[in-house]
Amino acid sequence: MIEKKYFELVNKEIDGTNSKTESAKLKAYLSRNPEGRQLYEGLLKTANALKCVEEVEPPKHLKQHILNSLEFPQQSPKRKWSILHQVIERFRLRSTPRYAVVFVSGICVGILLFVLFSQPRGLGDQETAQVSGTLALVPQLLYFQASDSVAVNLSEINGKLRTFSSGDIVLAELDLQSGVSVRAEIRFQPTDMTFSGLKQLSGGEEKLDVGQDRIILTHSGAGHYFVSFASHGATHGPLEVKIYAGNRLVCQKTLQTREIDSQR
Amino acid sequence: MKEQDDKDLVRKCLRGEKKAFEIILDRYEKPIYNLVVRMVNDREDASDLTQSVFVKAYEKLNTYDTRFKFFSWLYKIAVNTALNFIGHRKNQERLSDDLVSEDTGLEMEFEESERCQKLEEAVLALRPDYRIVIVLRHFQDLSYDEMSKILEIPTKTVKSRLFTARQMLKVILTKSGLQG
Repeated sequence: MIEKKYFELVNKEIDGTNSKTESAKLKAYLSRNPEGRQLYEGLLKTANALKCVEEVEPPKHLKQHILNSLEFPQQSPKRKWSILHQVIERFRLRSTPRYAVVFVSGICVGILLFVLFSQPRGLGDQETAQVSGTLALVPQLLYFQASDSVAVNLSEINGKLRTFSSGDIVLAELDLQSGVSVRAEIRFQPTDMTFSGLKQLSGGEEKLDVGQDRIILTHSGAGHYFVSFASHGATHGPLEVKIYAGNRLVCQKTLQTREIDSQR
Repeated sequence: MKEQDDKDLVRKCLRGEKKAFEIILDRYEKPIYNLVVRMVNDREDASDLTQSVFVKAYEKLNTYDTRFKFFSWLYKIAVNTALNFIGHRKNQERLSDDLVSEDTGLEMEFEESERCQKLEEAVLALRPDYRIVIVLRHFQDLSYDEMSKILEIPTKTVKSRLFTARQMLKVILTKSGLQG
């Protein structure tokens, strides 16, 4: 039985890939192992026998057949290749930069598409929530008509209350500054409208309590809010707004919700 | 140097220079044809397959990665084409008469001719995956590493397959009385 490592050495010797050390090691092994020697001689004979198989000439027409079956592009007159062409050629031939260019191009196209398709036509809800002041009001209020406006000038609370309307949406704006806890209660006719949302443009934490015919908004310090209502019909009654400083009622106002022109 | 030439020729081919592809053909037509003929055992099939190899190579030339040797890439196409053909061929492989008669000719001694024919038959009796390593090593004179790249198998596997194939060939030759 011939050990695997010597079987490999025998074959490598036949292929001429043994190092000098390996050849010497094999020689020593073969000198004391007749079975190994027989294997070596047998395989060597096989390898030598294969040498008698001669190369075959391909048919003479083959080359022309191959050329005829290929479509070569029309050669343009010789021109000097610019550096840019050479760079492009290099990219075409080398896979790594080619893949890198494809990858980067993909990212660029992706970014471009993102920028193109994510361009807001106007500020959406989320964007508006992140800005404050006039900036926040402009995009939305462009579509609304002012309905009413009341200034609040009290010792504890300052600010303004406004209403706007557009179609079936009524907005109430509360922009109040105070050093104490403020509670604003807005009452409405549930037959006229339904509370639909609150947007805080500025201010700290607020608490909202929504009822069937009123909402109560509590906050500390300054706060600027828009409260929206969905109107049920073309006509809708006013909003009753009560402002409390702590638990004390300090202001009570009625705000019209129809457009100023139609009120006249 | 030749390898560098090959890469230049590929570049020229990609620019549409027909002459460059003709040089590639002159350089590799014969070895590819011989590889295929030893694998498929039919000159006509080998001719068609060689044509197919070069057409594929030309069409896929832009996918050739110049970090690798061109001939390895071309041989890979040839080996795959030949193995696919053998895999799909239903009829049993038999040595075609003209394979030996045309080139050995009448001038060759009959005994020598018969001996070579038996040798080729012995090679063809091997399974295709063993046959290909014998063809690449003994007829194309490729190294283990080159074979590994062409066959896309580890060098260790190449060696193991080659050593086994050679042992099998020895057995076949002994049985046929060609080797004592």
